[in-house]
Amino acid sequence: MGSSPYIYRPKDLVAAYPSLESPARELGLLEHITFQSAVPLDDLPKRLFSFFPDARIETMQPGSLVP
Amino acid sequence: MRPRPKGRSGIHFRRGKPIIYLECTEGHVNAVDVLREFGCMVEMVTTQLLSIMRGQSELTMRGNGRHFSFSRQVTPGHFLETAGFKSPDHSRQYVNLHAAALQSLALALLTRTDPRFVFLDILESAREDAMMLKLLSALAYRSNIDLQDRKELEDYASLYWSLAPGEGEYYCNIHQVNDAASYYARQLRSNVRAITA
Repeated sequence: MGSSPYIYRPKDLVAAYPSLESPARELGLLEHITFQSAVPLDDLPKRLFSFFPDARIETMQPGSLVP
Repeated sequence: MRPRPKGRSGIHFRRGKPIIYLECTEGHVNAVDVLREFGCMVEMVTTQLLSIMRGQSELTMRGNGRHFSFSRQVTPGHFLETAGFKSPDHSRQYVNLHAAALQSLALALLTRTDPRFVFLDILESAREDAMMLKLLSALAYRSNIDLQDRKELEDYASLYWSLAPGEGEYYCNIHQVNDAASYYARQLRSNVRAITA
């Protein structure tokens, strides 16, 4: 699974995934028409994990496959 | 030019907990991947919940969609197939209310939201269905329990409601029927007390 290198529109994402509105809003994405697709990993847990405390993120090297 | 994540991600559940895999380039990940995987996670949990409920009971709607009831006599699968994040489709009589309710429950469990966010009609519907009450209680605490054990049901139900907030704070996050939800909460609490007495 991989995302396309398009310009992303937060409102479209939220329309497709309504439950993402809170985290997207928390990330400040809804304040923009488009947003940078690259975000610092260090910022994610603090912001997103308050919504999804049981989830854990594991990083992969570029080009590697999801195990 | 700084390299960016191209967007490669996935999610697995291990021991009941979601692990999100993200491509990381110089400390950065793709935000779309992040959001999508979180969305997938919620959807997977919802589906898992529905799969568990499938075969357990039929969920039917009463009272203009504001009440749900369970029946063990029929176990159709048609309305369970569209759970998740489908857009509401009011032209068909099925489901999306069910899906929304169950999704609400799944989200509440996932995010450890205050139990008052849980769709109380479901709990109310389960009131006279000890197995369903046990299932919901077990789900609330991510436990694999023996559905044959009545004592465990009592323990889980008791624990569940001991952690729930006061009756006046309950409300339904789907239909916003505060009074009704509060009434249901009182009834359910009373029933649980009777079970555990």
